[in-house]
Amino acid sequence: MNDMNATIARLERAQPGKIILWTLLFLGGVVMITPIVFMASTSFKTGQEVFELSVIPDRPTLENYMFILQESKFLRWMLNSLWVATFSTASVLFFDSLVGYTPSLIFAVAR
Amino acid sequence: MTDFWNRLTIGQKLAITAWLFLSIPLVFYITIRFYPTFEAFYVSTLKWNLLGAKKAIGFKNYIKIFADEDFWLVLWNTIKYAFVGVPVSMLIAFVIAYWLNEITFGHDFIRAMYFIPFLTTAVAMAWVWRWFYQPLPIGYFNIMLSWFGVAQQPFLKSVTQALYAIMAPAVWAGLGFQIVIFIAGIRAIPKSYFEAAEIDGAGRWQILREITLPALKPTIIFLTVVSTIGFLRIFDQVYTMSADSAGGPLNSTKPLVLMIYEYAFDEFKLGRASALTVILFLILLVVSLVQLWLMRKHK
Repeated sequence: MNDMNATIARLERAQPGKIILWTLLFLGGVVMITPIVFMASTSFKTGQEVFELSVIPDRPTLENYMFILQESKFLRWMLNSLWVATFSTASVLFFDSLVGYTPSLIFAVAR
Repeated sequence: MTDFWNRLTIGQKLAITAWLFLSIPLVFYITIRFYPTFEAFYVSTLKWNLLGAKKAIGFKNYIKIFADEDFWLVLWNTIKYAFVGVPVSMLIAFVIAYWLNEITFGHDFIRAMYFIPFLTTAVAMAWVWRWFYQPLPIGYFNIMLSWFGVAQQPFLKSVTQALYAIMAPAVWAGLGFQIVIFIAGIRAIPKSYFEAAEIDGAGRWQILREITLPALKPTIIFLTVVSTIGFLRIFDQVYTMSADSAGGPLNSTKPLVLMIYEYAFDEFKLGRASALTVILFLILLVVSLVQLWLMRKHK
């Protein structure tokens, strides 16, 4: 309740310029994520429905997800990506911390 | 051994420790990074199809590349990607970052919306954008144009529009990163500068021109260089989206990296591909050196 009152108070204090600015930036953000929303919504559509432009599918289906999990080597591919990500992160952490530590070691004593 | 160690001055001990730490990454970099780079220089003087015998031909690969009209077209395309893509994306990113910085309510949420595209996979999103560029019954962009009574546009199928149509998702994907860096840069400017300017009666426009932009110079240089290098190396979007053939229509969207890829893995002209790689490497080197020089001049 206190939270609500605080929000209302804040809204009342806000200048109209700020509200317009906020709305514009928010709309810009919506435009930015449109391709991702489109991708997500298409993933729940059947083959025929792909050509319709509705954001929410008429007959949502998990068919595509089932196909990927059952008919493809999705888990294997996921594991490959995980493997690459783990080792490149570990290698960056190891080698770069060695390089990064050295100057700090020298400068710390030189001071 | 301990005697030897004890006789050293602190400075010498430090130097030895430092080089010990540095030796491991150095070995790694020399074998994994530098050696293949120099190997590319060497291969660029060969005629080699990856499996057959290597034949040394000196600078013939370079001579052939410079005599090739397609190379100059591709180089021009690459320059267009960088010299149009970088200013456009930086300008949009700065305007958004500047205003987003003024907002406190839901700031993190809106910033996240702008940042999410940066986390996506270029190839997957290029397919979505390709869908948006489709002709009328399905393409979002053509549908929106039709609301305003504008004629249908060919986008990816046009020799003049395709390059910019492919540049758009690259700009879109990089925008979030630039915005976050810009906001960090703006926030790093001491508040007292702005307060002093306000007391002196400076307007918003004056503060922007006289304080914010000059103070952001290192941020702007950093972003320019990183984005320029990114756009000069554009590949995924072009390979996924271009119509007719990779880099099409009629090579109008083909960048250097795609040309290297085709020489190496479609035509198996490894020497020619390496020579092109060296040329791209030199271009990127010049860009980086100019950045270092600008940064030093700034200090």
